[in-house]
Amino acid sequence: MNKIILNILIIILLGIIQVSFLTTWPFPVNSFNLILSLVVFLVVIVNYHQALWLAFGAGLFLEIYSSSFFGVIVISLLILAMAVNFLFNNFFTNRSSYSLIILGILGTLIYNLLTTAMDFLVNLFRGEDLLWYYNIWPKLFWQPIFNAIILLVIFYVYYLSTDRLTTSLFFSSNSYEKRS
Amino acid sequence: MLAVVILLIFLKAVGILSPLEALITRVLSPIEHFVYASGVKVNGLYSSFTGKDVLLSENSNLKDQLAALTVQNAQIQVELAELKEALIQHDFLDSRDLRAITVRVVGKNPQPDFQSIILDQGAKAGIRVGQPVIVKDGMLVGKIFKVNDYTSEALLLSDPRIRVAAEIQNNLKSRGVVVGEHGLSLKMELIPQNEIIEIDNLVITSGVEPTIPRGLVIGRVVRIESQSNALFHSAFVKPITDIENLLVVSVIE
Repeated sequence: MNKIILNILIIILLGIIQVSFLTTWPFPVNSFNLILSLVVFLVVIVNYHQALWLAFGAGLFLEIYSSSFFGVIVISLLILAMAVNFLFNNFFTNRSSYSLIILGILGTLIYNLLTTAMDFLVNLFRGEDLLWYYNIWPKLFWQPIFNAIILLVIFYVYYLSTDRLTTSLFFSSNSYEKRS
Repeated sequence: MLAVVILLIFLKAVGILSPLEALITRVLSPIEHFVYASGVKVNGLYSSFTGKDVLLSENSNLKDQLAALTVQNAQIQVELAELKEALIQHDFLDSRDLRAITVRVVGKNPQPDFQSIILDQGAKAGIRVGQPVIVKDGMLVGKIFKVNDYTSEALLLSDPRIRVAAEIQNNLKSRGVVVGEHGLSLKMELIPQNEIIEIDNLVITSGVEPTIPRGLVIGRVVRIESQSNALFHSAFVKPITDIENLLVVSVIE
């Protein structure tokens, strides 16, 4: 029970950092998405089920402050976790930082594609103005770059804190082989 | 898990989640505002360290003074113009008798293609879609575009989705529409080609939109874009106030 409460508090804290802190930084530094990066990190490095719970909990929190239709963010994050897990299991051989960065970039593009497409469809369905005037560069260029950077930072912090950093961190090694 | 999400979407649609949402936003709003203000402060400190802080401070004070004088000047010009045009006096008085809701900024939309701020008051406080958001003495910074019961979101002037009916304070009071330019600047479009505009002309709201009163200051013309064969020309407009680091704003009812 205590663990559940702690996890909820962590999710709220992450949500507040995402909505109220990271967004105060100047462009393009404000482009990175901490929640999305952590979901990708959990899928690739830690545990898929934890990633799904983070996507669900943090997605719900972000929905409160979202201008999109309720459900767009949480569904996009869940599909993102599933897609990254599928790509990781079928196309990647190890848990190196390279895999993480590539999956981070792909994951960001998948997430942005999903949210944009769902927003568009919801607006179309509701007959609202299609405001199809998005500036796509932050989503297609800056956010993938900054998410990749933050994933690399999280990767090193994680391995340093768990005392598992080795010189072969960038490459495939027995210590970082893909989980079964 | 997807089934739970679908159930939640249904519960949200029928309004069952509203009290829970209200509780969460009420409880977390002060924390979020604190975190947001800290972020703005940290960001400001960083900016100060990268420049000459004395000059920055002096520059900031001068900008504030200039902004105050500009607003004063804009209001005087609007009042004069309205008197000259013999508009009905009580309309004029009504147009100055504005009621506003003061709200705190608790965050920004995390989607990178949005230039918008999240406010800690919503429909329950009287906020409606389309209402103008101002700072200081009548500087327009955005428009409400989404309202929940207890929170709302305002598009900033720099967002490409925003459209504000505007007027240039030149001889002809040229009218047009101000649109955001991908978070970078503002552009006033649809200005008739035969109307002369100049650099540094003040741009204010025209009052054509029913929810936005006339005379709110938008910015100053910094560049003019004309093509000889076009019907209209455009002006790039720079806001007078910093619209990126807002902490408290007012929504005009």
